[in-house]
Amino acid sequence: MSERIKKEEQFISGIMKDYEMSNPPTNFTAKVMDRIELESVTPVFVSKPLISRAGWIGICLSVIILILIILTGSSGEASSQSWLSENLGWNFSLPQINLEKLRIIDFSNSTLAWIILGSGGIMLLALIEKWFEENRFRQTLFL
Amino acid sequence: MVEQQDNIYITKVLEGDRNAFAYLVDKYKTMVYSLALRLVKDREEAEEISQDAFIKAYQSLSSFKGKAKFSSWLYRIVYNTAISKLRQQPAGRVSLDEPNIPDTLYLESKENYDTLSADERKKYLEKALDSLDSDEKMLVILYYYEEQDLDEIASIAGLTKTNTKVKLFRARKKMLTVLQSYLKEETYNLL
Repeated sequence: MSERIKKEEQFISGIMKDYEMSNPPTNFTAKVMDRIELESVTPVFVSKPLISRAGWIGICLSVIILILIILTGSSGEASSQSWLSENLGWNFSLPQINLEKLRIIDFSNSTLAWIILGSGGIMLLALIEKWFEENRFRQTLFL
Repeated sequence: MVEQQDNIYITKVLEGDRNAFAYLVDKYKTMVYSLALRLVKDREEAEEISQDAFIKAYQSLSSFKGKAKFSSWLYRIVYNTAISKLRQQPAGRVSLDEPNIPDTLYLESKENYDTLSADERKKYLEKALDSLDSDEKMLVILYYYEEQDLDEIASIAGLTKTNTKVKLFRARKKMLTVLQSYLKEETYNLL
């Protein structure tokens, strides 16, 4: 930077010390806050969960209905499978997991597997949603 | 520290505490209003622009990434709001683009300026600032008064750093030209 430019900079910088800011009207803050209130300004951070409340109710109801279907079906190793395949024509097979140690009530392995998989699924969904929500909030703010 | 404090209040607002925004309004209202007034030259209009800017800031607070200072982000909103308002009005003043600047400009301006009283200095500073385009005014205020760094100013004005430097250089020259011409006039009147 040349000497002259430097001096000009210093001069302008010096005269800008005489610059005075103008004060807004005394009730300025109140007016802004009133406008925010009155104009029903959209909330700044609309927390939109990945799964809505209705969605969660639906998921829970489905799981409960599924468990009920399984529990009310005849007992036995392949009871739920046969009930569903008979009534809905739906054939599927569950993984063979040894759940003997977890058995408290006398459910079949497949029934227990359904209950555990169902609850596990819901917990997993809840954890994923929580993680997404926290991450999104953090990113929105300071990243 | 200042940014940290701002971020605390921004977080509060984002968490639903609407009243926390009043702190930010209170803190920046003078600078925002001054900047708006400098750009539009009308108190009522400046107040309207300032209010609109704060409301826009509130509405889009969730998009504030914290990469720049909150003040810089806010000034950019003020600037854009004022510029779009100015665009709706018919063009008035002819700009002093590319003035013919003599080398003695700085010395003459400085010598005459130093002899002025505080009130006169303020008067001539106003005139010098008024000679600038809206964007130049903002750059000068942010750089010389707010002492923001060039990167911040460039991001507020949506310019490159080099462009910002060039605009500041031109603004300085314009101010010096105006000061010199007014001060010469003053000296002539005294004689």
